[in-house]
Amino acid sequence: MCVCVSLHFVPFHFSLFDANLTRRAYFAAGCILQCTQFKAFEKLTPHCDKYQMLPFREAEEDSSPNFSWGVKKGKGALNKGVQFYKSFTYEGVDISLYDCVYMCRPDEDEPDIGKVVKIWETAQKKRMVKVVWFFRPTEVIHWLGNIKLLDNELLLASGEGIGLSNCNPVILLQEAITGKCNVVCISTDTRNPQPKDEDLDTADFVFCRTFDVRTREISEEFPNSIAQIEVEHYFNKETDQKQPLHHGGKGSLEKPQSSSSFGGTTTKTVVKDGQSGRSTQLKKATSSSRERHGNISVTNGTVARTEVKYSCCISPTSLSDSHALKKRKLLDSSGTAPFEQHKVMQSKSQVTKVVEKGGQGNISVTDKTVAGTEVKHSYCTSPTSLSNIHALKKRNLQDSLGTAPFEQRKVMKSTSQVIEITAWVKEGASTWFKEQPWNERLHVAQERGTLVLLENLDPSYTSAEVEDIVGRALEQKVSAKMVQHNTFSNSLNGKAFVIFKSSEHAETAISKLKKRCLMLGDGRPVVARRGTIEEPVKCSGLPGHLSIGRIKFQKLGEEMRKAVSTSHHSQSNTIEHEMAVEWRALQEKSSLWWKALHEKQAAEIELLRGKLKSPIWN
Amino acid sequence: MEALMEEYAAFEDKVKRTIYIDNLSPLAKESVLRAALDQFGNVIQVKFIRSYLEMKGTACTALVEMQSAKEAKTIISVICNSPFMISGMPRPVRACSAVAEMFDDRPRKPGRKIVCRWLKTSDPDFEVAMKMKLIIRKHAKEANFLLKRQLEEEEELAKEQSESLNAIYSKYELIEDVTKSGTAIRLAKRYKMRIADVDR
Repeated sequence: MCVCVSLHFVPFHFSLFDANLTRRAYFAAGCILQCTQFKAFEKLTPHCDKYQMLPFREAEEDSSPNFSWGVKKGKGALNKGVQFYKSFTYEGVDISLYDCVYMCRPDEDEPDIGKVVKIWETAQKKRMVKVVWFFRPTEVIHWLGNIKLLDNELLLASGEGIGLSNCNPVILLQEAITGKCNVVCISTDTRNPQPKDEDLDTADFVFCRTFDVRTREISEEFPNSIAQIEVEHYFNKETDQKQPLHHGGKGSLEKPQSSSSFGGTTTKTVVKDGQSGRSTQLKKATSSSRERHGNISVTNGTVARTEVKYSCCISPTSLSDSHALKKRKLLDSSGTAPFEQHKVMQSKSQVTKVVEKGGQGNISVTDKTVAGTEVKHSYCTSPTSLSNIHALKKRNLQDSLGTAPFEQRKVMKSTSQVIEITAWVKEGASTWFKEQPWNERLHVAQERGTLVLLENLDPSYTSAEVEDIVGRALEQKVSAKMVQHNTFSNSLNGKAFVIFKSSEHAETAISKLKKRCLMLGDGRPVVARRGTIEEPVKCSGLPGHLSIGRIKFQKLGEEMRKAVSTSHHSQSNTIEHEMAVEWRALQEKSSLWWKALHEKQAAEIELLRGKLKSPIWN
Repeated sequence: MEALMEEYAAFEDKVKRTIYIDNLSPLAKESVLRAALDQFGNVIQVKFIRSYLEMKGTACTALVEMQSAKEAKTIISVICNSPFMISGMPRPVRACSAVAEMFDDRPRKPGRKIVCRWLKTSDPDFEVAMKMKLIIRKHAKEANFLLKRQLEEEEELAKEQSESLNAIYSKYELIEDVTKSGTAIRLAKRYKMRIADVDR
């Protein structure tokens, strides 16, 4: 029941990698901006800082083959040298006025989202755009109060002041447009044409509130104009606009190894189009070794996460392969290549679909970068056309579960990436081999040093989920089994034994988990240590099972012998009964001890958990 | 999706029908356990729980799946009310109803989302999380210690009982000897006391 999909790749427009490389190298250059990521609560988010007028460092613009102007709009009133435009094409992406774009900063992992409100070329032939910003919820969390935002909701900046908008040259060192973004306004304002359902499905983000950058207020009212542009332009467009298809796009950053890693690509490939044929532009290649994806998840049997996933096209351009099939390299030991996993899902109708989870592995080798080993979150959506599996992956936002599309999406939080754990299979893995029974594997693993014990998991996790968690977070294929609870295990603390592929893997995993913190959904950091298992008790009988030493065995009648070796109730007038009752008492006492201990431990944990500022809510 | 939910529902049902038995002797084998509980109902499956983390000397445990939840409940109440011994006396076994976490091969709960994230060191939660980790470790050690103490207590009780058992036994032997050999009767005659008639 596994279908292997081979996806085609269409080379992007830019084939001149060399030229791009030099231009891209600007990201590698030390970035000027200081990101104030986590002190953002006091200030108005990193936006503030970046909008001080920093000297722009531009690369050579005029000779760029990737830039071309679109429709002209008019000449500037004051300065005749200024020419306004309605659109331009850059890197193969057509950006028009009032489009929403991703702007990436070199050291930020998450792109900013802004709406282009003005495009012009100055007399000095500098190409500029003015962008009004959208705020992510995490950036305004301080002022949110009780408002609950949807997963992919943004806030439009309004008012006057820093952080409202920026005028940037199109090609900018610190910040560049990396792609188009689909933001739909769901406000019930009368001036806003209500979006259709399919618009909502294709939307990357939605917004219905504004954030006044001066008064720091969040409101659902839209003022008449923002940044001197009428508010109607911020709302949805009237007609169903045929936006040009653009191919994945600004992958931009294929970093050379030593560079500070730039969060990278966020290319939107889905384009809204009212017509039927939604074509995903997600054209990727699968190398033949990836064919086996089909099997894995199915054999796991538990994969069917029919979540709606929305996949961002990560299309870093691999520098080596400029043409033809772009190989998505898996995370290799050098750690720079982004990786991607394929997943097979079982849908209701038993057709397996391949859902691509564009995980962007932003693994930078240098330890200095903050991005470190964060796994980029990706949006994916499940393809709906079940029939056409061999074709290009369809981005279809039809929710196969039928739940509302909004809830399904998880937005990248800009402080630290939330990794959603879904069935994860690493390339090259194969579950065809019959595995030894778990017991033996444990022993073997202990000898080899590949056994790790994970603690503080949610006790209701299954073994497969633990494997997935380790897979996603640590990017390693492991086999895991939850430790079964018994009468004296803490019901809040789940443990699992995990067997890694090699002892180095195990070592690195342990040290990683020790130094950094992997937080699980409800505020639990995962604790790891070397696993040791006890040898099974040699059959020597249990303390408490007494035998009278002096009775010779043969004196015992046949029934007596049988009685000992099987089972019976004790009768109340025997010594046995009294002793049994004593044991009972001891058992009860011990259960009370455990209860007390667990309660105390639970209280301690709760105390700490209360101090957590941002537990993730599921 | 439905297949998943069915599977999960079947699993939950199984959990309800399963008994968790504690304080088992390592000598008790599956057949013994089965025979023991067969008196009460239909035993479908017996599975021993391998404990990897506990020390030597702790009792074995097992999960027994019965045919119906009612049977399971009856057994549990019976075992709790009067001491039931399997493969050795006088330490009785303990039974309680099973919970899902006791099974290590359970299916995924459908519709569950797990998220996790790596914390950056500058995240304010990082400190808290590190503390939590330390506390978890401490808890694990505490649990270990408690287990050890429990084992010690058990062994102590066992020793006490063994001693008293032996003492009682020797007393009985003595009496038996005396009566058997007729010493008691003769002594009674001598002292003109009546001796209760003992049916032989």
